[in-house]
Amino acid sequence: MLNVEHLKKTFGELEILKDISMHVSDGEIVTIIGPSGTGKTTLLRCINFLERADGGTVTIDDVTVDCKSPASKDILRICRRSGMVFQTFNLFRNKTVLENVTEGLTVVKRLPKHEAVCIAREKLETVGMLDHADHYPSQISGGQQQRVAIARAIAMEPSILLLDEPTSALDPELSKEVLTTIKKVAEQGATMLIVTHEIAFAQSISDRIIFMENGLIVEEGPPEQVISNPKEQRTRQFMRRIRPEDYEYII
Amino acid sequence: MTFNIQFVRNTLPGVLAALPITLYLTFVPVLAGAVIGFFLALIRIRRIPVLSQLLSVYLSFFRSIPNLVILFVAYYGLPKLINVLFYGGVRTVTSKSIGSLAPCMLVLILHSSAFICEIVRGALASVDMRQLEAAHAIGMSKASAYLRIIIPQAIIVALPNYFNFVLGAFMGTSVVFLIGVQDIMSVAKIAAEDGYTFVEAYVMVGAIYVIFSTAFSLLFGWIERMAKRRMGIIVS
Repeated sequence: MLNVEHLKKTFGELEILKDISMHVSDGEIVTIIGPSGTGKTTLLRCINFLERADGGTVTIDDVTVDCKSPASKDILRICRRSGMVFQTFNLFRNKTVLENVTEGLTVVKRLPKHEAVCIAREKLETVGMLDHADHYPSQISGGQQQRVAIARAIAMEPSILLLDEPTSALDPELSKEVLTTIKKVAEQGATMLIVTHEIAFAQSISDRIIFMENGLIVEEGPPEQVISNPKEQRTRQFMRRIRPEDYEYII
Repeated sequence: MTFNIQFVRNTLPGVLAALPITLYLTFVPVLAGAVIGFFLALIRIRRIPVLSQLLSVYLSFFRSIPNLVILFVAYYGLPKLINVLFYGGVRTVTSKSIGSLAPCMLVLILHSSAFICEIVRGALASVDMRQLEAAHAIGMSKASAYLRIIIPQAIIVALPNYFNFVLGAFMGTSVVFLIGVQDIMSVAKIAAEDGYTFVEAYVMVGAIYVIFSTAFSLLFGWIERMAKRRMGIIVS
């Protein structure tokens, strides 16, 4: 369970997040969409304190942290309850695929090595990367790296998985294998908060979609509402621009 | 004119006996420099106020004055400094009583630290720091993320430059005979003075440097290959 209350973030003069409140229940898949530069990524980064918000609270399960004055112990507790998948994968380059997944299990959770390896192999199986367990990140493709990053995140058994534009650094073919993997993880009952520009994917995977613009939540609801039949004028405008069937061809 | 092989035969044992001094003056400074240089690089990267400014003065000082000059300044200046600081300017400690090894070691360590600081800074800058965010996201502390992820990668980048510097430092120790440290150069030169067999002496010392430099670079090359293999970089 994730709960965000009145989150605010400014970079200098620029107000990126203006009072964001949202909730993700256990087992729910929520997707955030919206134009570039509206604070979607910043919102995710503020939730696990990669970015320090100026105000508001973040709650994951039993841990509530006030963003104004977070204790570093609480930040660590939030991090251990959340997992993150990055746009640029960010695998540890000096570690093999298997070691990337076991790293958190042995160093953070302090599991014995054989147990960590056992969990890691199971998660790599889920994302279809077990064959490459002994490869280094530099030896596999971007899509494969992202699947390993997903395995690394879910191996920690987070209460919520945060995915920050997981496919935007990949070509369409590699995107597809990553999206399929995310779907598979979602079907196993994970709770997810996804930022993406893949509208079709968002529509098919989400229980709920949030449309954000200029640091505010403009509209939220089930996919059929937000994507196919938006209530707000601004959401309608955005959807009209990105729906391929509405492209005008001028020859 | 003949090459006096007998002189070489007679002097070689004495010269080799001085080899530990040369190796000591090479490896203590480069090892101490690696540790000090690492922390100096952190000060530089973090831009810690005051310390960072002092550091850049120190770096430009050691990088722009020949080692030999600093060596002489330390040899003659250090006793004076100690006298002024602790004995109210009365000449109590002299260059003779301090000996030449201590100022020599001090200068070489400071010199190594300055150069290695720059090597480490470059190496750390080359590591993709987004891996730190990934480490944060799985709940790792910053210290273990640096120790387990960032520093091992920086070392791989730093190794070739570092080893290059070590070879330079090994050869650079030959200047210490000018302030009277008994290294291989010094022993050979003194032995040569009796019979003017300078060519023989310097050729012999040169050969020793060549043998050891070659051995070191083979060893360093092997270490580099092993380190790269640990990171999955294919080495042909």
